[in-house]
Amino acid sequence: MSYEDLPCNDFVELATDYLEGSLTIEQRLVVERHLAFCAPCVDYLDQMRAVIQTTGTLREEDVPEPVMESLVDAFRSLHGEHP
Amino acid sequence: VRAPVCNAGGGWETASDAYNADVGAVSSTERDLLERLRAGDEPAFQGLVRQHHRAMTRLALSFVPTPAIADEVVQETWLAVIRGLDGFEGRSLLKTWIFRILVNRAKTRGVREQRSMPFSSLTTREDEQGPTVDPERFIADGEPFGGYWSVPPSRFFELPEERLLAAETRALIGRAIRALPARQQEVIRLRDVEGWEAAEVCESLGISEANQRVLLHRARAQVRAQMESHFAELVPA
Repeated sequence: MSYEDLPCNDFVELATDYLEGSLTIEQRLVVERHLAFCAPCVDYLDQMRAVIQTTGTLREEDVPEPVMESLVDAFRSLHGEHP
Repeated sequence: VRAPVCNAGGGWETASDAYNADVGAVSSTERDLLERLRAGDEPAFQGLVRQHHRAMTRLALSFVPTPAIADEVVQETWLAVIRGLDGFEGRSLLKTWIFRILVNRAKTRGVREQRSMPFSSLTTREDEQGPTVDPERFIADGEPFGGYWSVPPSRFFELPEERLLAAETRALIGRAIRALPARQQEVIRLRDVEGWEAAEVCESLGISEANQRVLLHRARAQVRAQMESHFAELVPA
């Protein structure tokens, strides 16, 4: 396989496998050769990385106070009496 | 930090090596946390709840019809965790154990509420096939350079971080994720919102590595398309 064997519309479907490191060595070589010649596909990967990074900022940790209180009560009643 | 290897779904040869290498590090913090919980350490328990409660609620929602039922399922799960702490053998990570309990309960509850298959099983493979990028973006097959970009990806990733990470963008991503098929939502939430490892997600959701990657790929591709069009005025393709 060569650069010409992997058109961009096939590359985009391999992007996650590539980022996850789950391609075979042969597949990875074909992908990397494609990327060496194809700036738009490098941009596509950078878009994906930006998506992953931005999605990672959605994490929320707040728990409604009454929920937390009732859970801590339940926890205390089973585990709280230990010496 | 890696979880024990899950289903041998797709050639993940390195996972068991990585697990063996990391197992010491994983179990010392895990053992420490587990001991504190068993000893009744309330701040440790509150930390655990704070860390996972939101993700559990969102995940439960993909199996059951209403937020109220999702809240109940999460509540039941925490009670099962509290009761099960002493019997937990520590053969998986605490969090994958917790999420397995959650998924099992949510599935059971989903079946009961809807008198049918869980929502997750209803959204079948139709959502998991076909191109993830609009075919119009590529030169048609048969033309010279068929399959190569005709409308290349924009460079929205070059926007300043305050723009990229603005509340507006994050709200857009939240909406894009909520619009995904349930199975894709489950995976992208755990992988990219919660930052879990692939193997941990597989173990909690009971899916193979290969399936996990397909779902993740389709979910990320959808969010990507939404982000690109969101920024299209600022950064044309």
